[in-house]
Amino acid sequence: MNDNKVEILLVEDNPHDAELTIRALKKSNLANRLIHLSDGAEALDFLFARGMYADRNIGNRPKVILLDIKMPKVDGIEVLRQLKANDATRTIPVVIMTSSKEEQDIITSYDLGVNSYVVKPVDFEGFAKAVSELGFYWLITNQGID
Amino acid sequence: MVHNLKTRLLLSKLSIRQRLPLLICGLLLFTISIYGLLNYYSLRKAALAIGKVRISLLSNQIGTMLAQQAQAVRRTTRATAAQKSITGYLYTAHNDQYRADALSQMDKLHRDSTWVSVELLDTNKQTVLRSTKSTVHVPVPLSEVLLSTPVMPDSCQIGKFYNSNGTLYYPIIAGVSANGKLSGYLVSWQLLHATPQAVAQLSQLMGSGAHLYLGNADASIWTDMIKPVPGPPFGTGQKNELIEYIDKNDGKLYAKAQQVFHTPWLAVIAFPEKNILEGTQSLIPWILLFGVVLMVIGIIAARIVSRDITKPLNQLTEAARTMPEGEQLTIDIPGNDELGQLATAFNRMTSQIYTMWHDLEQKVQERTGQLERANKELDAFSYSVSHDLRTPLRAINGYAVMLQEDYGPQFDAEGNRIINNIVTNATRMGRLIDDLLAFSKLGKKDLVLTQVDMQELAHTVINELLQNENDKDYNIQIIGLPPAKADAGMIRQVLMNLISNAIKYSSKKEHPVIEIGGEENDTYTSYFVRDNGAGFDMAYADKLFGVFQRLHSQEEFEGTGVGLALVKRIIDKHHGTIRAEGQEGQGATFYFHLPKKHIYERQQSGDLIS
Repeated sequence: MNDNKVEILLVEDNPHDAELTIRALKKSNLANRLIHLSDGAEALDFLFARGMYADRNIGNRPKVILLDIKMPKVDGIEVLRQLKANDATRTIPVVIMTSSKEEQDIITSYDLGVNSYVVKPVDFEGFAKAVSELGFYWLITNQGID
Repeated sequence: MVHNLKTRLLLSKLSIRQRLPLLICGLLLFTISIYGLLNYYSLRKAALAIGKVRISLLSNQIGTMLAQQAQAVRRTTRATAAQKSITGYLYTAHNDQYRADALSQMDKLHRDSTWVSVELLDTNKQTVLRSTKSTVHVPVPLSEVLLSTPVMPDSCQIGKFYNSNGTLYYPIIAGVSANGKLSGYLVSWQLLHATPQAVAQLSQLMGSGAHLYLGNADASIWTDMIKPVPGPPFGTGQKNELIEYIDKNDGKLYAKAQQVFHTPWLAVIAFPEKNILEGTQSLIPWILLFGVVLMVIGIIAARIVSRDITKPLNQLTEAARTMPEGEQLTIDIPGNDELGQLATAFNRMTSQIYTMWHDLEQKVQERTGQLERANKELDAFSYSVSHDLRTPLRAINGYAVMLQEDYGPQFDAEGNRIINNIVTNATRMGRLIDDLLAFSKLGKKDLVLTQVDMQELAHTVINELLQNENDKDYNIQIIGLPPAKADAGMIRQVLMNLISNAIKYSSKKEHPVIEIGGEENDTYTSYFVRDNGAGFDMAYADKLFGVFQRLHSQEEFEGTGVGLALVKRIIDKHHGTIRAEGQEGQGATFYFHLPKKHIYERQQSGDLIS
């Protein structure tokens, strides 16, 4: 995929959750320009054009980042912190998608400047509905910085 | 008894610092008074004894002195009576040859003005010659005098006192003899009148206040040596004895009579008691002064002692008072006496308490740390549960749905039923996990008490719940719910769970009826939620509020078994109570009470102290 056209960056270590998310987005035709990365370190490399993504154009920003919290190596909170601390990435909308209703996570995320916090429902219907609404909102309804 | 009690009550109100000096003062006053009185009386007794001895000595001396004078007078008179002219004049029956000489001798006998008369008498007691210097004729018949004073030849006697118009005289009678036979009498009268020198000498001898009485032994006449006076009341047979009597001028007097030798006289020395005790009386101010000085010293000593006692006690009290404030005070009371030992014991006790306190604090910290760690572990656990259990569950659910969507047409009815069951169960497990998390999180939540309008809250909850129950006609009555003092979010959960239960369990009735009501008294507000639904067997009432405890099967009524446990936990947090009544097939009623004041408020206002 040409990374210049990335609209959604999905950072999710669990392949099943990732699959369900992608399926839900696909159903609404929102997954055409989606990249899925499975850990926080890789996501940071991608966003800051480092390491294996060194030749990527940092100016090409995704329209939204769907970020899981619980990941090995670098977790979602840390990714969020670094994104929001950097001027180049600060304005990219970030949606935390997690199974955790932990109050502390919610508070920390909003403190760091998260744009949305979504608790993934267990039942697929609810989950699919939440994901597609989210995709519609951030890709179509919301006007971001190009 | 009552007085004693009052005194004790009064004493018990005073501090030791005040009581001790008072007690010591009282003791001192008592001791000093007794000691002073005893001393005074023994001094008085001694003074009286000394006084009596002095009286005896004085009366003796005076008697002796008078006797010596009397002896001298007798000797002189006798010598005159033995003169040849005197004896010759009487012997020759008044021969003029002797007369001039006799007169001259008799005139010589007038040694001073107290010799008022000298007479010569014959044996018939008739005056035959009278001295030319005789100035006074004592109007006492000489025969009477001679009768009461028998005189031997060549002897001389002194007679008793006679009163003549307020002047006292006494006769000195010498027997004139001729050839050993009585031939007449030489009688001279002497005026009793002490010279100023003699009086001065006597008063010096006797001391102030003393009375000297001279009188006849038969007590017919008494004199103070100058004039006749009423004498002391000596009865017969009391000579040489010490007597006491009362005089209207001098009060009580002690007196002793002394027979004056060679005379029929008594010399009496009388001392008023007050004079004898003069020295003793003058001691009284000194005794009083001594007592006052002792008292003052005693009070000062008592104050010092009581301060020595109360100061350490105050130190102890202060130390004991400040101890709960966390200050360890070591009492410094020197000495090895009782107070010193008390201080040592106190210091040991406080140091033990502090050690124990310290240990306790350390233990509390350790335990708190352990608890905090355990809590963190629990948090981590519930985090894991919420995240890690939900993720695979979502995968199961998701893949099952994907299977159904993508391959549903290829399955037969049984295949689709199985996939449905997978989805239903996974969803149910998700809800279980959510409920369980909500239940465990409740323990960590703090109550925020506000006044909650229960009537309005009940309406809101019912409207929310009935949105999904359009097809059923529920008869719901909400009557008189008093406002509650509660955490708004939590009490909403309570009403939500109880009313949703009521709706759920009465949903199979043809005419479901739900009543919600309440009442209040001074301390509690109480509420009930009643339905006419499935009800329950009272035998299992204790299982209603347990976690995951259900009295109905999943097929009958769906549910996780957490709802009522959550309700109970919330009511417990509010220090309220909850109970349920029911009958199988007839319905159930849930009652709960909430205290009007929070438990801390009640503790502060003292409601719970007793």
